[in-house]
Amino acid sequence: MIRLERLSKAYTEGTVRRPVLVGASAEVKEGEWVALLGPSGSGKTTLLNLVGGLDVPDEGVVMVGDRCISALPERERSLYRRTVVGFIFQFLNLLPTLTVRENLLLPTELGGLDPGEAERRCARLLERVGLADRADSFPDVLSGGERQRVAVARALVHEPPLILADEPTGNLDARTGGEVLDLMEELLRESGKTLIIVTHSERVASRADRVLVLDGGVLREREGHGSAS
Amino acid sequence: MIPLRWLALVRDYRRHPWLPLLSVLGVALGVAVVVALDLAIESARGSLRDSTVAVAGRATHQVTGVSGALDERVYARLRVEAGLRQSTPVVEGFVRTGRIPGRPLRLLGVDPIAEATFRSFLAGAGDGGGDGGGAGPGMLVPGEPTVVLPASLAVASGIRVGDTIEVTGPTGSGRVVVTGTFAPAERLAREGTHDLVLADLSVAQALLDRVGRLDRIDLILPEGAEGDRAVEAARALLPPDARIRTAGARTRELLGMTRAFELNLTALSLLALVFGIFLIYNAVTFSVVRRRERIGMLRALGVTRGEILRGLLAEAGLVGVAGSALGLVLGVAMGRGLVRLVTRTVNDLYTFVQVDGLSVDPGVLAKGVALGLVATQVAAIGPALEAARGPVTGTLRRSALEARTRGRVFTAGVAGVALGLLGAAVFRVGPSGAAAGFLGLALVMGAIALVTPLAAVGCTRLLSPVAGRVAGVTGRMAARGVVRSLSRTGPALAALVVAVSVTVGLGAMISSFRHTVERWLDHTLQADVYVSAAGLGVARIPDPLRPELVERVRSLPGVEAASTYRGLDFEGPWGPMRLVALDLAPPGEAAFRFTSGAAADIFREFRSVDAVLVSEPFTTRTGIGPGSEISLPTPVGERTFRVAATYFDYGSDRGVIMMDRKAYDRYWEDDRVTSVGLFAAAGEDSEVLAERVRALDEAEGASVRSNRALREVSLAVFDRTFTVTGVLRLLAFVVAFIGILGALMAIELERSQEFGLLRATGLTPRELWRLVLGETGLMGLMAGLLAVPAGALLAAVMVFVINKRSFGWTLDLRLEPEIVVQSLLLAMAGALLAGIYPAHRIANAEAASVLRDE
Repeated sequence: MIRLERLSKAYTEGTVRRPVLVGASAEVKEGEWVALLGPSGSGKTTLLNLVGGLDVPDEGVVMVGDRCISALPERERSLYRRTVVGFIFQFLNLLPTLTVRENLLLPTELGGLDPGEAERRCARLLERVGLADRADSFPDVLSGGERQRVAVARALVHEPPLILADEPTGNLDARTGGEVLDLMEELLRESGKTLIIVTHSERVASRADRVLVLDGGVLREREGHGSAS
Repeated sequence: MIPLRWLALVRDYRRHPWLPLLSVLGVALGVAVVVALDLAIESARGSLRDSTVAVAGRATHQVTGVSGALDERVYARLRVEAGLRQSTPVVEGFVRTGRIPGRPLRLLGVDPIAEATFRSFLAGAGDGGGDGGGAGPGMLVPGEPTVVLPASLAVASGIRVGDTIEVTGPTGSGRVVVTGTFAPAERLAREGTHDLVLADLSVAQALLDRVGRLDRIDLILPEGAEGDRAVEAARALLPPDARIRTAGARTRELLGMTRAFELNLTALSLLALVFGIFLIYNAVTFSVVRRRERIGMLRALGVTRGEILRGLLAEAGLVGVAGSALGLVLGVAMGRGLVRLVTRTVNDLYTFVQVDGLSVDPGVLAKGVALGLVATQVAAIGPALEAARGPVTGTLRRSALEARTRGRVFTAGVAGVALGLLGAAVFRVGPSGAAAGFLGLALVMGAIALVTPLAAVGCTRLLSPVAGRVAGVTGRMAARGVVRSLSRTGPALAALVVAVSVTVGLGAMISSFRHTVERWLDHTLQADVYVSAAGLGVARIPDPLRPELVERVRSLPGVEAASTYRGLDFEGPWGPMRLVALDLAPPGEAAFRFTSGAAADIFREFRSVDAVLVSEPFTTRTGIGPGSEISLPTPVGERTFRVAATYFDYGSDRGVIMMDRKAYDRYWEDDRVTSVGLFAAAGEDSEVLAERVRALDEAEGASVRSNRALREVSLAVFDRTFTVTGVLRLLAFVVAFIGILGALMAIELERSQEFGLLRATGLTPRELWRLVLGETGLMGLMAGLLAVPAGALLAAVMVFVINKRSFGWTLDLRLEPEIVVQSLLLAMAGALLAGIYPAHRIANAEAASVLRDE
């Protein structure tokens, strides 16, 4: 269970303070898929960063299970990301200096997984995402769709319970984006992962169990889906 | 196996391997310069120390004359009246032999009977027949012209036991028979005696023109109260101008003479290391900035701050290890060249020492490695902390970084001004030693580094319209690029300005010094012809001239007047310095420039009463100046002299006390003369007069130089003594050049994607060349321009603070135009060269591949 309580966050640009979140609250159940919609600059990525422990709110609380993420010191938040969260970004997903296989192995290495088991998981996931033959390629020779498939595999390889995706298909064409979403659905649903996905796309949102809309710094549940405050 | 989190960062270098290579080279050069100079200095010091210690042998105390040799009757008195049985007389000087050309030999005249107690290496002396010894100093036959040589010297020169060799001393030659060789078992004794020739006392006295006189008396005294009593008993018997002190004190005093020179060299060598640190700082900052997205991604994946910090420091550590290792190899190689330069300077300025080769001290190597490793960590800690401490989202955002950097530029500028003021405060109110001077210099350099980014922003505003007019849009873009990427250009420019300004400062310091010495020589060398005994370099006062030569040259036709000069190494209350007795002809008065007072009054006082003139380094060292009274030990007891004036002198940093010859004659029983300055009569050509002197029989072996020749020789000596500084400046130049090249090339390569985008939007390859070279050229120009005032400031500090405190000299500050041009060329050449590779790479590649690669 993820609980966001009255989250506020503002950025300072020069002398101007620009609020992004103003008391946003929501709950996400275990295994639930939640889409986060909202116009550009509405604070979707900021909210995702707060859940992922990449940033801390000015006010409010982020609870993941029984842990208050927003109160954790930096090191604890790093360890939280390492074990609990899998990230899929729109850009900057893969480390360009590591091969596909090494990109996948990195989270397992950070998590201290047995190397043999890590290799097996890596091979299995690459097989599942259809890139077994590209294991030793560097990211710069992959297509956009292939890179996102690797990113999906990397987000899952250390088996985190929570996946945070920031417009994972935002820079892909409709067909490739659809394929990536199918892949995510297939892999995430079967393992019961919780997903929070930031998107502009109604098509992507339609795959979620619930849709939360971020507007004016607050979260509201879109009609026809579960509760939000 | 390297953990993937580090592989992700380190593999970046596979694409640009020269980035770490330049860092390694920077550290290597920094370490190499420090190691090379340390080894060279240590070799020269070691040689001086070994020879002094080896020759002192087991002596615990030494009796010496305050102003030259002792009467040999003092020895008899000490032995008989004070009962100091463990005592031995010594004369020491330099001779030459045609069998070993070009190499002076140290002749030690000893008492063969008393000797074995004092110098243990003689116990191994043998007859060369291969049995290795037993005969000892007994190989010297008392009163007979016999000598004993080091076995190594005999082998190297092909001299065999039984050979007769011709030996030339300061006033004549003699033939001596080689009756044995010695080979000390101990390494120190072996190294300290490699040029030592032993002879019976009377033989050495004759060869060294010391008949009836001794250079010192070596004593072995018991420790504790008994020893103290013996010292007191000896002291009671000594003439007023003799003194007794421990053998260690004499060695320390001798080594202390070169301390200021060594401190300056060490400080200069550390400058090269500072450049190295700047280079590494720049490289690490850049590597962090360049990889900020990767670092951000690793942080997002759960890599902790501590792990990022450790990784970046470990990376710098690897650079440190590789750079230090390479630095040691380069350092030893460079040290072999530098030891000759350092030894030559020590010989020119201080004392005669012969160094056979570079002695590679493991301690120096360890210090070099430690410096390299610590320097890299010091340089890396700031940027590494910054990378580790930054928020994950901030690490991912370039704009945040640039905004933060711009915000800090003004603060850094203010901090720089504060640091500069602190440096000024250190000069004005801090300790007066040279070390405090160097601390102030370091603060000023730090201030220059901190102020540079702010100055660069100002410079860009001024240069931007000009760049626009000259090169259109690309010119304006180039100017904007410098300020827009301050996170990268700021540290690079700071490093460049400091590096270039130090080369400007050093260049200006050397030229100021040379100019001052030239002017000083112009007015100091008033006589037309100078006659002295041929000596062993400028540092040693030549042996006295034959009295008959002095008389002959005075009365030569064409000589209108003559000044005589008697110089003595004087061990006064302020340490070793020079005492000069001057019989100054009136035309010679123009040779003096005083710090204060009217020359006519000063010379009246100098000639009429017991007054002395002191050199500026003496006043700086002791604080004793015009109007003070000083007490000097003379052969007839302590006498008080009034200091009539302080005169400018650049001949010796040890200090000179000069008195009128009449005053000297009142207290010293010494009518000898070290050199004579002849003033030619009107219409007499000085070269002709010099030839006339050379033609005299009595002038055989003497050095006769015209005014012009002596001026040239003096300037040649000056240039020689500054060769080491010049070499260090050159090395600093090279390090700075590599720094400029590396930093700017890295900056431009990092912007490849941006340039690819510009290509994609229609920038032609030619325009791209203009843009890249414009940007690097502008940075080079700015670095060069900013380095000129910064370098002038550093030069002022070196001239007015460092030199004054180290050597006591007042110099005229002079910034030659060619030094300014050199610095601008250095900066511009490095900068333009740095732009060539990125411009070529991006201009010749397809825009799409650039975008994809980066």
